[in-house]
Amino acid sequence: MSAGRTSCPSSRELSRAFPTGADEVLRRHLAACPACAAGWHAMERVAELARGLPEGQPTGERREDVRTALLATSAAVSGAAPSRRRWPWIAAGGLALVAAAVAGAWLTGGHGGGARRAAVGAGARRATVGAGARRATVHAQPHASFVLVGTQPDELVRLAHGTLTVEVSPLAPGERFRVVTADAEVEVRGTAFDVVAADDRLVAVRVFRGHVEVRPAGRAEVALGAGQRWEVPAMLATATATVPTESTRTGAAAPVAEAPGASVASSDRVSALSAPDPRTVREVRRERPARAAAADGAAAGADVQRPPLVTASSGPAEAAFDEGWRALRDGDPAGAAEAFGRAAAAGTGAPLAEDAAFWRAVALGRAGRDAEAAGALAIFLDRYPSSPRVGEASAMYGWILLELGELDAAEARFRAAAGDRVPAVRGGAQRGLEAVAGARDAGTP
Amino acid sequence: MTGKLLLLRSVEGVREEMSDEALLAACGAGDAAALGALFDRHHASVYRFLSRLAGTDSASLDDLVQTTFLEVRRGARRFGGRAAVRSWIFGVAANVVRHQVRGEIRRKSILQACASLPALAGTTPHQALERRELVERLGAALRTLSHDLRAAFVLCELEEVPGIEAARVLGVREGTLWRRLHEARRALRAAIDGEPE
Repeated sequence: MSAGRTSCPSSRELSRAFPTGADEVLRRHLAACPACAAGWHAMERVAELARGLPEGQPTGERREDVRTALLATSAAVSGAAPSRRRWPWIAAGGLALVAAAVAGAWLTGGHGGGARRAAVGAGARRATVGAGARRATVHAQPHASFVLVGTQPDELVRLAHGTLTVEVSPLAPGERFRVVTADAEVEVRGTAFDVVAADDRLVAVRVFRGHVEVRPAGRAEVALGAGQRWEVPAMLATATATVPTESTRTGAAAPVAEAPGASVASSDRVSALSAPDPRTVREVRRERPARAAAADGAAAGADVQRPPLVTASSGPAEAAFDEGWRALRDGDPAGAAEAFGRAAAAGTGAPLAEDAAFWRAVALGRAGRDAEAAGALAIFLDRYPSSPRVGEASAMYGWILLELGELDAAEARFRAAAGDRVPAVRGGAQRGLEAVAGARDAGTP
Repeated sequence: MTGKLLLLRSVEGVREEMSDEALLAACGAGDAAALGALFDRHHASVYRFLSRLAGTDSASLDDLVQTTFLEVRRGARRFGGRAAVRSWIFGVAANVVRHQVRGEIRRKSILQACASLPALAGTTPHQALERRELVERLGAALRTLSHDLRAAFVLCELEEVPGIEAARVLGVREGTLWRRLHEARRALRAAIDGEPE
């Protein structure tokens, strides 16, 4: 309420002022204006009566039942619920571009302090300086998405997306500082480094000072010293943010994201993009126990998906495949579908054809050509029943069928995907089954 | 001067001493114990919020509470720190109600709503009866409000979530929130006064 009010506030103004209480000006007005006072009193009466409404409070036994059920169910939940039924297409396209953009920004930031200069330059956000309960200085590049949570002795930064440059002053005994993404945690003891995430997945770490060990899920550990960096190969970064499944062109569960330039599993494309001096990267390559790695993967909620490894553009199929990927990344799903179609046709019988057929379906879905996407998925499932992408394709097909109101068929597809080895696919299938049940309950698809 | 990148390790620390934000972050990284700690910390207020928002029986309420915390776990990574965690959880609960309350729950709520009113503190039997009738009338009117109006009223009036936070967790502009709150109050006032809106 403004000072010196002479006219009556509207009922809406009174309503807005009510939660915080009347200020001095309004109190004086209410004392002098019976109409407004009556309105104010009516709101007080409604609020007072509303507070007399029964409150649901659980008994101890019920509370324990719910808590137990919650934690048991939570263990089977993975990943975020889809905001729309068409999540596979969004995931396969939009997020890929975001991830690629971040990776591109990283890679074009130059070596050494390029990214760091950008981080502390114009537009950067300086989150905190190591004062009081914090030991870290966090510089965020524009559009970075992060939250400062926790203070010493357990200082935590939750990074969802973008690049942070972090400087940590030496910690006292018992103090910790960590940067957490959905799939990793970086813990330091006094160092300066960049950490980059895209779509909640760790993309890169660059160390300016100190020493960092990088241990990505299911991959070899890499030790980095000052001036060194680790980054997930660009194609993997893109794929990590696309469709959450694990697959290779051959279907083998090959290790991925080894040290750039030093790994047999890294694609030529990746090596060409990153190409650090192999001498500066010390590969630790300690094999982690399989059970621990599996647990990591399950807890991640989404295995790292691997796009096809195209080692060279040596033929028309490969060229068409590359063209499809470029088009998909450039936001041209129709062009991508056409190119993948050519790749599939040219590479009939070859492993490339399997991937091309799959990505053609994805591209068609992204293009909004659901009927054609459904056809492409049906062909893929028929032609490649042993493909590691069968579960994923089934789930995608299920969502399309659900959109079309084919509840029984959709349920069958989701059930086929429910046993997939990739947790995220299983989770998606489960959500699909729930959506089918919900559609049946509602009586409309 | 060493650092380690460790995958998916539970966020360590004394959970009772961790902030809501830290627990939520740990939750987003798959820490089930953090989810349990969040539940322990907020389940009572979530029960209360949902009971007023959905006005349902205890069994359905249990389901709604469980679903809410599952969605909290699923959505933890999306928490942007723009509202208190408690408010954010209310927003999640409001969405759960919006999407999951079905006719069955509504039917049960009508049958049971009047049977569970608390003891009233009227000074005379007549006043107590009158007040009870008003509360019943208000409760019935609250259930007839649209979800949006009801969520605004329960969040701001009963849970005392600041308007700007309520707007954020409901995903609307602050002005929209105030408008809904105003409309809800007006409708409830009309109901207890026995007047048409």
